Amino acid sequence: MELDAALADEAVAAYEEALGCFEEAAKLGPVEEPGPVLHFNRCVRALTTHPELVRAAAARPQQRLDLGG
Amino acid sequence: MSYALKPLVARNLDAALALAKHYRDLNQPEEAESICRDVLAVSPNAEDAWRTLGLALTDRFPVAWMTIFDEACAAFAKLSSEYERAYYTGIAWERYAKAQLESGRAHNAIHAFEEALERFEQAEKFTPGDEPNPILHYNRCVRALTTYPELVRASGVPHQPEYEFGD
Repeated sequence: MELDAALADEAVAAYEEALGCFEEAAKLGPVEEPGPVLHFNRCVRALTTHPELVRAAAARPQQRLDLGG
Repeated sequence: MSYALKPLVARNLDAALALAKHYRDLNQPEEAESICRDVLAVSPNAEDAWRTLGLALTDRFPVAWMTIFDEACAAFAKLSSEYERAYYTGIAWERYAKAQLESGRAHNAIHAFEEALERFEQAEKFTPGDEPNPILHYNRCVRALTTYPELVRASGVPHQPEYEFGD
């Protein structure tokens, strides 16, 4: 799937939000529940293997990469 | 920001594999593939994960056959049962053939269906118990080769298969 630069940037932002949520869920959920880690890793794979997302992530200003906490 | 994978804990592997199968059922093979890779990172000999990974990759043949056919076959090659190696490699060839057919490459589809026939025939020799699958898939390939007009037409014309495995 090809994305234009603006859409790719939005997708990266959404994946990063998702990473934060799954990380939080992993802390709060039962240890035997693998869902949050599996979805976290799925997001990481998308961000690190989809060429347009890799490009968009590299181009993002640093302050927007802070997930907050 | 750098992105790093998290390891699964060993006791979650069965639940994770169940989820991988669930995502395949939901027609979300990339989710299933990611989960299988997480399981294999912790348990590299998990046969169910190799089997499910290979199948998830074949689910994507209609859109990405160029790059992942070899990867699917490599996943099935990890299975310890001679029957499963032959049977699932046959499944990979059969699905590859269908992807070729859908993209209008009739000669390549014929070649792939013939490869599938060989694998199903081989699997049949090692079939455990009353397992009918190799014969069912063998017959499905035969029906495709003998009834799809594009394949019937192309089988009368000599041609060397053309493959684009990408890189």
